[in-house]
Amino acid sequence: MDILSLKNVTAGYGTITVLNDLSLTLRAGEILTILGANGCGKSTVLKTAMGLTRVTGGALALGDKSITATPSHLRAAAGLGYVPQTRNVFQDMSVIDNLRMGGYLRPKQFEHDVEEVFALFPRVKERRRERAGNLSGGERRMLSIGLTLLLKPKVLLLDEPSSDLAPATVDIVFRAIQDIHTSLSIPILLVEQNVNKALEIANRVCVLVRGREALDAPAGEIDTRHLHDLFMDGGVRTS
Amino acid sequence: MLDFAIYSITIIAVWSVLALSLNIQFGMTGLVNFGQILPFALGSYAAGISASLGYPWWIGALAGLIAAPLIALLVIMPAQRLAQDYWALITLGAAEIFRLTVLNAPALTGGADGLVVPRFIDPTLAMSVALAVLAVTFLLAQRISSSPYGRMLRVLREDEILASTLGRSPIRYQASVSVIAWMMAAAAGVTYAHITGYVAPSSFTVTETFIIWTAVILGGPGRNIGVIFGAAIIQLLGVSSRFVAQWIDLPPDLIANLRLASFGLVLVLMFLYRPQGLIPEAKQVHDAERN
Repeated sequence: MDILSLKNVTAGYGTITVLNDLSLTLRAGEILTILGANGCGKSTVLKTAMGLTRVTGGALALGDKSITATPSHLRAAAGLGYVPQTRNVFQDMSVIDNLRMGGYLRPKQFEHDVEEVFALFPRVKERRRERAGNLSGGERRMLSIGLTLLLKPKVLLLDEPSSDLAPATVDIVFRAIQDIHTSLSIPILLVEQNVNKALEIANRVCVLVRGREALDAPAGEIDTRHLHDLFMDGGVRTS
Repeated sequence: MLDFAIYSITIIAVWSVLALSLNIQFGMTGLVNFGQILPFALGSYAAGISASLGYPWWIGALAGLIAAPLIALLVIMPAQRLAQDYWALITLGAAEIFRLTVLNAPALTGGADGLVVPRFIDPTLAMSVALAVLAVTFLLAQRISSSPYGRMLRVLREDEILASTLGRSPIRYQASVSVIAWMMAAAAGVTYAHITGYVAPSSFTVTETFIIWTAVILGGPGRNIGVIFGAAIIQLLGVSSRFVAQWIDLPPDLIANLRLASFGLVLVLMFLYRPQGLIPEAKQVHDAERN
């Protein structure tokens, strides 16, 4: 079943077009990873799904409902949970207040739901009275994922969860992502630079080249040499 | 001297209301309004026009309090599709459009000559009314600041996009806070018209908007008591410069310009050395400790 689909989407910022006629589908129960060189439009796919870009063509749907013209806050209410790469927590607020912001749409269930987040990230619980801006990069990433989970999303959109993290922390974060995926059975659209880590947990991989889909294959069938070519010269085999 | 004190307190009270109205927009919500003099002018002209048509004062007050939120929504309509930076341009433009319209519609507004408004004969009464308007505005601003609504405004100030991805509609909060703020400024405008007994376009220039800004930046954006303090300092600086003019015998227009230059200097110094203002906002983290 298709959970989130982009059909022939053209999108960008202002007058700049980043995604060109891109079609992409996230199916129930899978982790779909988007890979690609810098500037190919990986993050823009997530931002477009969340309604943060200017869409000039194509259609987006969540389940069987069109969300092409839906504003961001209603997409959140409809079940899209977006974790931005940067600026993903409210720095001047405490950790627990940040979590409350995530629980905005479900205030009554907050006390219960927040325990689930604490179970997933014990470190976040320990630091709950701290100002979010004082957290380490890894703690902040955990908090940003945690506060998005409080929305009880139907789909999780993760933008480079490994960026700027120490290798040990990357492991913790990826284990948590896998936990979320299996225990809460949420499909995940993951954008990553860390190809090896991403291939470990993904079911399917989509490679973007200059805002278009250049490859869509099960993670097990990915030939890393082919990936290298796609990253380097846009898929023109030179050998 | 007592008269001077009463006059100063009256003027400080009026400008404090304006500072509070900008504070809930900029200080709490992060909306850059470079035309906050517009609702003030709307209130003043509502009082002036209704007086010139022979209506009692409360009709003018009512008209001002109704016109301000309506115009606020009209001005915000184009802004909601644009990034925050454009709010500054749109509000700046709207205020100038209003001033130039008033200047060029003498039949209704008296044009450059302005309108005569019945004024408070007793300065103590004028001061009491101004202080009463300030008290109501301050209590309302404090109420907003400590409410869940105020907390949401601060969330938007910190990160509008993140807030919207968590299920909040930024424009609803931005529009509602603007409506409240513009009504505050309109109330100040009505009061001001009845205090000076006269409204004219020259009282509502861009310079006046930046005097409100200076008070907010000086006092402490986000802190209600701070911006009242800021407004008091700026206005006292303003009225006292007249004495300076008498003592050192400089031409009055030079003093007027020096006064504006000193406000500019205050802004620069504050941005450089104390951007949080003289009485800074209490940080949200402390709220969590209570829970």
